[in-house]
Amino acid sequence: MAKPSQCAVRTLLLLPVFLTVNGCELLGADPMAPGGGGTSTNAGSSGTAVATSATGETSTSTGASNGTGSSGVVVGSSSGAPSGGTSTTATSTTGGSSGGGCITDDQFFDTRVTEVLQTDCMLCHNQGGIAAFTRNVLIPSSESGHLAANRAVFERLARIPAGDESLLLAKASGRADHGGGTRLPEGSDGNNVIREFLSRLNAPGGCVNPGAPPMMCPETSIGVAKAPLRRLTDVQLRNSVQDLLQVDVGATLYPATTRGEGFSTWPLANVVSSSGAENIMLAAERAASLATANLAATLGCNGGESQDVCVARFVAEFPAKAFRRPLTAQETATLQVVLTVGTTPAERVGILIEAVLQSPQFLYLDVVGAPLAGQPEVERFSDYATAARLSYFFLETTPDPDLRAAASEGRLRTVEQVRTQATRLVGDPRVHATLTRFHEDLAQLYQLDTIAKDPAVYPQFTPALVAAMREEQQRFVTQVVWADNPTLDTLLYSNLTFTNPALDTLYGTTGARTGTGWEARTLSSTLRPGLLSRTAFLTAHSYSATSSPVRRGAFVMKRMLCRDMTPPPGINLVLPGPTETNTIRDRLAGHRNTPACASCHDRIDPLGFSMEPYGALGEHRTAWENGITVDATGMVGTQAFDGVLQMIQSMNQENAMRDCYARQWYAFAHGRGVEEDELCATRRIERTFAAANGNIRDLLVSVVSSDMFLHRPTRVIPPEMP
Amino acid sequence: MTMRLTRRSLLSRGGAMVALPFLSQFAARRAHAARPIRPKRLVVVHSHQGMVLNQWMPTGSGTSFTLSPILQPLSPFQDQLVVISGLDNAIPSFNSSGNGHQNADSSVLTCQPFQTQGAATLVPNGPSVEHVLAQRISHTRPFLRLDFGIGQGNWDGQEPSAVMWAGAGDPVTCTTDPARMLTAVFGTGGGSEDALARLRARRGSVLDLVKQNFSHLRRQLDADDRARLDAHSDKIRELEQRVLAAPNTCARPVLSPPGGYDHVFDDDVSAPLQIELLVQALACGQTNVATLSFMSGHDPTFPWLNVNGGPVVPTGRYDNWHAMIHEGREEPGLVTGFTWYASQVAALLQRMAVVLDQDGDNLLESSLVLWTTEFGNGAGHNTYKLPIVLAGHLGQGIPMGRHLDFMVGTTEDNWTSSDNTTNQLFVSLLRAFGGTDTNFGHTHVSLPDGPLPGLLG
Repeated sequence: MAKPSQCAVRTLLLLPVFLTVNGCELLGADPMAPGGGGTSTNAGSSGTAVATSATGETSTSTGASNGTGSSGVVVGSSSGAPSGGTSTTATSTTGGSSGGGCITDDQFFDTRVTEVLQTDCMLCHNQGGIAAFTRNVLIPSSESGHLAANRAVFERLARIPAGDESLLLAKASGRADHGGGTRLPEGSDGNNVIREFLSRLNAPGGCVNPGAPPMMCPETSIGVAKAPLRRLTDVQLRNSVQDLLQVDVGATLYPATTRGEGFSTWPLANVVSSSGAENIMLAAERAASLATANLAATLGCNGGESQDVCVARFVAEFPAKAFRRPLTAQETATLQVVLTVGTTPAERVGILIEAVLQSPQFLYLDVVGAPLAGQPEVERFSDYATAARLSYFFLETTPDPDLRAAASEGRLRTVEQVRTQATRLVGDPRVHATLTRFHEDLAQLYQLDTIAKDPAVYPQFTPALVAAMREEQQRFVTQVVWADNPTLDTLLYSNLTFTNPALDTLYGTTGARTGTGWEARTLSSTLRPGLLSRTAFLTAHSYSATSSPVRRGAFVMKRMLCRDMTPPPGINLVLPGPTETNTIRDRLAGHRNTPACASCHDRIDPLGFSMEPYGALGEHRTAWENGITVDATGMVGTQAFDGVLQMIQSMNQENAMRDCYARQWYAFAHGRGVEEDELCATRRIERTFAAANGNIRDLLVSVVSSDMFLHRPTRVIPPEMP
Repeated sequence: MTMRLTRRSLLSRGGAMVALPFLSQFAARRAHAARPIRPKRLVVVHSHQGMVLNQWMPTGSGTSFTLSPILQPLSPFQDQLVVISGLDNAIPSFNSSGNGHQNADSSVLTCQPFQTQGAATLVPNGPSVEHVLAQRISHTRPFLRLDFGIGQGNWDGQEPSAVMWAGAGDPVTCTTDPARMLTAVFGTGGGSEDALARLRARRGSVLDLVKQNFSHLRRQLDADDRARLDAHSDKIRELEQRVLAAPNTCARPVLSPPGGYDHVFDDDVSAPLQIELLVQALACGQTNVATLSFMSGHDPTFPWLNVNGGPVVPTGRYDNWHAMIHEGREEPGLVTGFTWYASQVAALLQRMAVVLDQDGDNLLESSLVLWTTEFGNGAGHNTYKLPIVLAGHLGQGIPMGRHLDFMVGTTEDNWTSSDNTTNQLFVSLLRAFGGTDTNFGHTHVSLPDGPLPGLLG
């Protein structure tokens, strides 16, 4: 069953982009045809790649098996018996034993694997093809050097895990999202060839029983992740100023942090703009003004000490606290100048504070490290840098005295020492704010800032109600999940929450109310499991008067299951509007009837349907707007479910949600998405999380104790220009 | 209709008021008879989601044309417009990533494809045209550029892709709160000359130390991080130039929005406030490049407008404005909404037409205004046949009051490409301000070179 097409994440944001490169019009709809929707191409289960565009032209990209005789079936059994396949360019050295009728690994790649790559992958995975922007870019057999080049690419990709298996194989066999759909179904010869090669990677040098699972993620060297220069977020800056000077610059001065596809800790999206630089200046001036208004408290002079001495001491000590490390000689020389400017101590201190709080040493996380003896391309962050990373992760503020002492005394060198601090920090009540922020970001609740609801349908929707929803969310995370049983299962399944009178009306629990404030509630365990059935999430992922199965379903796919989905090129699909007799399920049928959309929407839409019992404010309902009874059933693959609880249980089989949740915390900690070559390292964190039965507290400690958090690629520092 | 309607009933209907000190300040001067050789400043207006082209495109071309229903509000200025139809933004075809909005937004003013296809954050490979121009004509002003926003939108769960870029990966952020913009441009008011001078001196000292610390840190970084740091340093230098400049002697406007005003939702109040601040900032010589962006592009509801007494987005038929654009080609609400954008452009031109700059030149006669959007027909969500309006001054001897028609096919042919692109328009734009550019943005054998034929004569 072929699903050869890429698809839309968001139905209504379809871009008909021309992708007519190398004639690789693999995707169904011809954007030139009015109304869109064309014939689907048929990359069938035989592995034959015949691509026809809707205009009937056959693809001419090299390597495509359009009539060259290869059906993609590889001759030769999977037991490693001598291959009858043709040998292509003989470039291989004899790798390992080839006795007993085995062919070498090199020969196996050059013949069997290459045939599969050229037949089944090359059509799109070439430099001019549709998949040119992926990591899998291969060279056709007509070009010289293709064997070595493709071998290098293939071996690298083969080691990337998806769960415990190979991502490459998972994609090709349709178990992981793949724009090209299922190319090598389970049991097919192509699939077996890849399996065998993976096994050979596991034990290179001869015949291997291909039943042995390919080894993923060899635990050899220190894992290292990119660590681009990272600006502190607006919240982190405000907190830092508060803790450094005991003054509050307010919530609106520092430039608001842009969220990338992920979290508010994203550095690359946070380049300082012109207005940003001005805001940082204004914040620094406000801090200085507040601090110098209370000069004695700010300076903390010792009794008997002259003010000059006291100021000099502040000028020496404050920058180091703000920069979170001792100053270099040059930095010290620069800032000492303040002792010579201005006319009053208040002025001098003010100038110092303003300069420090606008300096990049304060605004950005320290990136300094030292190369490892045995692995010089990897640096271990300095103790000071480590302390800062720990502090901003757990508490979103500058390192406290305990952490600062640990750094200056060299007590953050070993993983155990890091773990000790991490365990202390994760138990600090200030971590609640971080937990709240992470889950707000995860659930994309920032949309509540600007969402509007139709007052004819939802007259109760007011800013106060939005605030209450957010508070419910925060209480759920900190008082239900964290306080009681901090596991992912609690987050996903707990039917406990807190309500105020307005939320009681929404949940229908007014009868339980005894007072006027916030009270604990026990909701239905089938109807209100966890995060996905709380008002904040459901409200944020709806339209102004209606729910949105596509938004909610896409959310589950992307944020809870970490399934990457790429948008479609060349589709122009218009869905019917609501009528008296159709349901949202009927209206969205176009997704599943259009092959180009179906490969994602076959999953997205059913997930969303399971949440149709909740309207645009998360209120429970048994009938749709036109009176038809809500149908919350869905099926993804072979998993059938009815309602959100069953949906979560189905989708969390094989711990997909648990692994994804761990990965999201990793992304939050590092301030960016997980790159493919980091998946082995995140795999280790995922396994630890699973071994700890999904304990979130342990997860946070393991994230910061991992290699990836404590190391960076060694900086290549350009030489100083003369 | 939205929540805003119930909240809006609390909005007092006094209308937005902005005190206008300039009229008295400049009343004594006469406008110069002749226009300057070139326009002195650029104003870019950006609205989202394209148009309904068959209701936007003027009939007739050249100097004898009739404005369309959507462009009706601009009729008092018809002889100062150049309406351009049928130009393509051909850049999205060079991208293999991103959805329709990201592709269109990131390339409409930059003419650049994504720097890295498939990256987690997709950014265009270069700056937008108004930024390039700002660096040439506005670098001596207190503000390199001023970016005014109207409203804040909910973008269906994603961050909107910026339309204006100071460089690859360096998006321009606008200010949507008029009160904040007022303070940014005109200060907090009060303070003696002496106090302001001391503030300037202090800021100078501080920024000097800050710049030194930038260069100290730079030594510890690798090349990529240096580039990031340098992008920040550039802004420090801009900031320094601004704060050390002679103080703004223009009288500080007074904003008087009606009670209950919320700059996130009340676009009909925000628009005149921001327009006024923009105009006064220009008149006061604070910048030579200003932009005005309608930020609520995905699901605005225009509660201050109505279609036959009902809401602009009919309840129950469409999920939101965005859905209506996709599905409802004939919906009158679309024309109502888009016409409102035109009415705000007209309001901008109206103010520019009666305000003088510090040289005594009429703003509209000495500036160029560009209004664009990132789609052609909103329903198609593609970037062919962009609806573009220029207004004001293109240069001495260059006639205004024209419709340049580059359309290939009809307004309904969403997929027929034109022979002329936005690259050419922006080359002309840069030349209008004295540049000698032959290309702008991405170059490729399939993209036409040089200026837009017929625009500058």
